[in-house]
Amino acid sequence: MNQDPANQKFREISWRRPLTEAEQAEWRAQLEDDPSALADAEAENALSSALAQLPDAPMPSNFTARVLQQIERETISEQRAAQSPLLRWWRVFIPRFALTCLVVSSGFFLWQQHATKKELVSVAREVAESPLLADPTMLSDFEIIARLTPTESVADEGLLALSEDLLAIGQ
Amino acid sequence: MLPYVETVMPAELDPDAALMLRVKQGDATAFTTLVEKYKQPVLNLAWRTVGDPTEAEDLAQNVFVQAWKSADRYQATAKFSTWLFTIARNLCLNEIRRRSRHPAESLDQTRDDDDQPTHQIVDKRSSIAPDELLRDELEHKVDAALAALPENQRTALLLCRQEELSYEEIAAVLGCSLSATKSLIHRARETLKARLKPYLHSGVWEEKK
Repeated sequence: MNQDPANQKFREISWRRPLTEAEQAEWRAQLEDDPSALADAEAENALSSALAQLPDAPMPSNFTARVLQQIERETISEQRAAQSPLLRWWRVFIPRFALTCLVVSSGFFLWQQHATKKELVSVAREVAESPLLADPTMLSDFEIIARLTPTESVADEGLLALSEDLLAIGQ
Repeated sequence: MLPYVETVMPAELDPDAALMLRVKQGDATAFTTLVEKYKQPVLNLAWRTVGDPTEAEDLAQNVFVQAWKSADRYQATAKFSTWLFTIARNLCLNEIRRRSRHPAESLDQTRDDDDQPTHQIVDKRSSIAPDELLRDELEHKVDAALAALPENQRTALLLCRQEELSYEEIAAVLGCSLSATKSLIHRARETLKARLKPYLHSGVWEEKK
């Protein structure tokens, strides 16, 4: 690209708008010794013409009215929010309060589940560690044995006295 | 809305900036004047950014609504057009980002396809001269080439069409230096020239008499 300041001047003018006939003639005269720069200058001018001829966006006839209506709507909405602190409180804090309750109750439920499980584990451990009960068949003659006449205790007392004497002798 | 209060403006103040200062004081008539003046260029920028006429209208409307809402923060330190097009560009960027997060919503936007024009035209082949048909087709080519440019290059190129914006003001809208802005414009035009080369040399774009 030709970096000559005069060339750059015309180039920057062409960026904003197509050059006038006089400007084009002057630019061509500067570049006539540089065919590639001249071709580039022609392309620049053609591009500027193309960009200048791009159509505008379709504009709705009530655009300004719609802008003013939107401003009015948003102003009213803001005024309502400012005038009703109770409403704002209702809208902001109630959902937060509900969420907090949900979190707390979920936590309590989970804790309760954990505590119940712990208790069950404890009970199961106690049962597992307790000594084995006697075979139930051993108790089948319990009533008969209970009806047996009690033995006299005299022979037992004599045996007990004898065992005490033996102990005394041994010492 | 506050009542309008007459004030004396400095002579060198941009006339649109003076109008905007009246809007700041609640003058709806001044605001309407500004909307009427800038609605077409803002809509053009929005249309060539989003491609869809209805969405472009909504976007352009939001630009002016945002300008109204921001009136109390407006400072006449630069031209009004620079401030307004900065709002327009920011809203366009937001829309582009929103579309990139939800690509399914823009399946009908075929931005790189030369055969899919970005705006509707009426098929009047039977009643339009061949030259006009060719011109219409070439306009679609230019539209498609513009749509395929990166956003910053396309915006720089489109803002160039706004004669009231100097290169410095375009740089302010884009948020970059003057040299970077001219580089963006140059790169955009080189891309368009390469893509439209057959049409540029055809002589079709001689200025309309």
